[in-house]
Amino acid sequence: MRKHQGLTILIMCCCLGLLSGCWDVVELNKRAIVSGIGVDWKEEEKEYLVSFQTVIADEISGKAGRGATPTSVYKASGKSVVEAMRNASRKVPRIISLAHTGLIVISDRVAREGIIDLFDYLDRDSDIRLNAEVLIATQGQTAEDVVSAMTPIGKITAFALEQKIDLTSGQLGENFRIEVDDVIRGLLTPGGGPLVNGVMIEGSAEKASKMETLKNAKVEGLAVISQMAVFKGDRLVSWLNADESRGTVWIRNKMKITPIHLKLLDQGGEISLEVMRSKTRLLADLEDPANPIIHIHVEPNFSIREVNSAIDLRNPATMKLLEDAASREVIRIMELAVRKSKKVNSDILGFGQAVERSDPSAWRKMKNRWDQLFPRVQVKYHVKPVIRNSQMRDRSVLYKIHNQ
Amino acid sequence: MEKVKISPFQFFSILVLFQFGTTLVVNLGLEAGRDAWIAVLIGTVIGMLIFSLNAYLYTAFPDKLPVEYYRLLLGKYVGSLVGLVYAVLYMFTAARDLVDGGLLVMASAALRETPLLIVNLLMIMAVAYVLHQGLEVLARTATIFLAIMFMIGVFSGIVILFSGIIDLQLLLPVMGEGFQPILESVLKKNIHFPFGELICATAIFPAVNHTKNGVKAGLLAILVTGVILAHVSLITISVLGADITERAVFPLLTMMGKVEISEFIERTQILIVMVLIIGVFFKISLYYYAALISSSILFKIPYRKLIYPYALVILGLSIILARSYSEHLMKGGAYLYTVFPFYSIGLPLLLVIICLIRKAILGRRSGSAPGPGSGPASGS
Repeated sequence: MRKHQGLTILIMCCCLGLLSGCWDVVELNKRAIVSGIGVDWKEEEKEYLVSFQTVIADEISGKAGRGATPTSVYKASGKSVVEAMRNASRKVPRIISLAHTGLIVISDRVAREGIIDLFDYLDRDSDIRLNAEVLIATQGQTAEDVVSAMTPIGKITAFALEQKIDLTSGQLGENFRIEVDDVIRGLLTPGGGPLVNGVMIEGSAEKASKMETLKNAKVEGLAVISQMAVFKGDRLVSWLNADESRGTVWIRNKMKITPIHLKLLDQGGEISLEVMRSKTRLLADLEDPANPIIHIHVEPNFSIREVNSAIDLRNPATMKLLEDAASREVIRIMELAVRKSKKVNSDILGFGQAVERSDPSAWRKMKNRWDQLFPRVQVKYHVKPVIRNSQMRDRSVLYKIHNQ
Repeated sequence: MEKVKISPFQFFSILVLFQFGTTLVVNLGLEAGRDAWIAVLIGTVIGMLIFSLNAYLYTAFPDKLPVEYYRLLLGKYVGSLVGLVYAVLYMFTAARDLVDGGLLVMASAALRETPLLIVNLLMIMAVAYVLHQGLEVLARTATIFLAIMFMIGVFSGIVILFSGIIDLQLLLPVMGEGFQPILESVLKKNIHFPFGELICATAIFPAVNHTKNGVKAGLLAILVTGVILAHVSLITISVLGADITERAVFPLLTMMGKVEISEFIERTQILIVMVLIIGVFFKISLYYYAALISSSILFKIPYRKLIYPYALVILGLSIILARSYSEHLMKGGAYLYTVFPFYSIGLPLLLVIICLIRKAILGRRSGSAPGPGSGPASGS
């Protein structure tokens, strides 16, 4: 062993060189971390205008901050996102790092032209993860405005918007999380298309991007989640309204909590219920292959939240009455969604998959003409509502007043 | 040949890791779409049958290396030729797996500037070093890494489950396209990859210290791997859907990228890169060892002397084999179901038949029926 000592040391020194780390290492201080991407369309050049919302770490950690905005938006144009990113290298002093991108905002204009090329990039790229949230900027606003907006709670708009979506899907039920892979699966749906959440600037887009807006208690511009956008194939065709969104969420079995407002005819009172939990199942009936029937089974659990009526909530018969009213309301909401999706002829509700699940061989035959079949699909609703509780009181004050 | 002994459990570990190799991360049962898992399970059963062929030869000649019983069964010259062909085949496959590993590591870790040569060099150096230490060291390494893989598997399973990304509806309908795509996938891919590849396990059979338990361990290894692989493809499809899984270069990596638990546990893909590197390491090791030990018997050169020249050959081959990943996959796919089955199924079957005939003749000659193993061994 002794005679090889010199050789051993030499070999070990050589190995050190290999162990020092990655060939492709890029230190953190050489990276510009992008939190959100906005994609707009430049009409004159026929190019994408891509806005990168980059995180300024100094401002977030606090100590070395200059009191500037926590994020900064760099814009660059190009025929593709990659080209825009490379063009941005003239403006950004560091390597644009997309690994932490949590949000992709696409303008209404781009979405109407088709998003398939964009999503091929997002799907393929090794840095961008499939968990990135996708949003469509409302008509008339640009994606750039959205990624430039400041946010009062939290520091980075992109991450704040992600949280807003999660929150509103859990609290209101007019949206649900749509990530890159959800969009891609949507693109591949025969006769359908993706369903994407919308985003809009409430107030002034100009002021929303300024630091000053955060100095007011009343913010003058705020990025908020709006209704969902419907695609046919890879093109945006329409926006849903509130009830249509809610119906769609319900049929897609993503409903968690949503308020429901009932007007009672005979007593003239009003009652607000809240869905606590709901389960939806789609079943297809293909007895007549030319006219498929879709059965929507919904089992919502309600809780009574607000009673502006003198009805007796201790009486089980009243509960039955309420349940019937609630089930009519649920059907009304879902019908709106079905009508809308038939009108734009885009199977965003997953009826095709329901048919495929119940009869794969029949589906294979009708897959190619699902476009023609879908608007003629009959839908049957089966709602089994249960009113679980009425929170901390049963009878209302009004009941007491009426019965004194 | 040196007298190394490994226990059935160590044998089991090597085989499991060997089969996980590239299989766990790349596409399995492409043609079967969302029923890939069924194809894998069918492949497992057939894989066990193929393994039984090799296991039969092993019980017939428990102390002999493949090359030795090729000579015995096929005659000196033909046997040596077959042994040589196998050695070349093993070396070629080792090089292919090295490319697989290198390209996968480069793509998954987003190495843009590192040359493939460097990645491959590091890998083959590690493999060569372990083989220089001997088969026993490889076997002991395998048990440690099996434990690590197990922990990664359990952890991944838990985080996938709790991040709520599994959508079982994506798996339905089961066998919607009928049975044909599954059958096609089984025939073209699932039998040979990874189960048919176990032909190279014959090279370490003689080192196992307990014949009967060795065979059992081998069969168990195939069963366990098959079930885990089917399970993994089931989960991947239920997370990504059949379409994305089919287009993904590494579905498992993409799937793990979806994992996110309350913005705290995320980016767990790095575990998959680890699984990949461990698996590829054992895959290359076993092929490399099989090539080494066969050639050392053929040319009567101690096998340690062959390690470094062979490492160079494998490294060189890995560089010239394919220019791009798609070319590599295309060639690999074709090789897998045209050339490879002949060696993994055809030749072992032939040998088993010869062996049976031989035994019948020998049995008639000696007048008594020798049990499997004792007859041919005493005849040599």
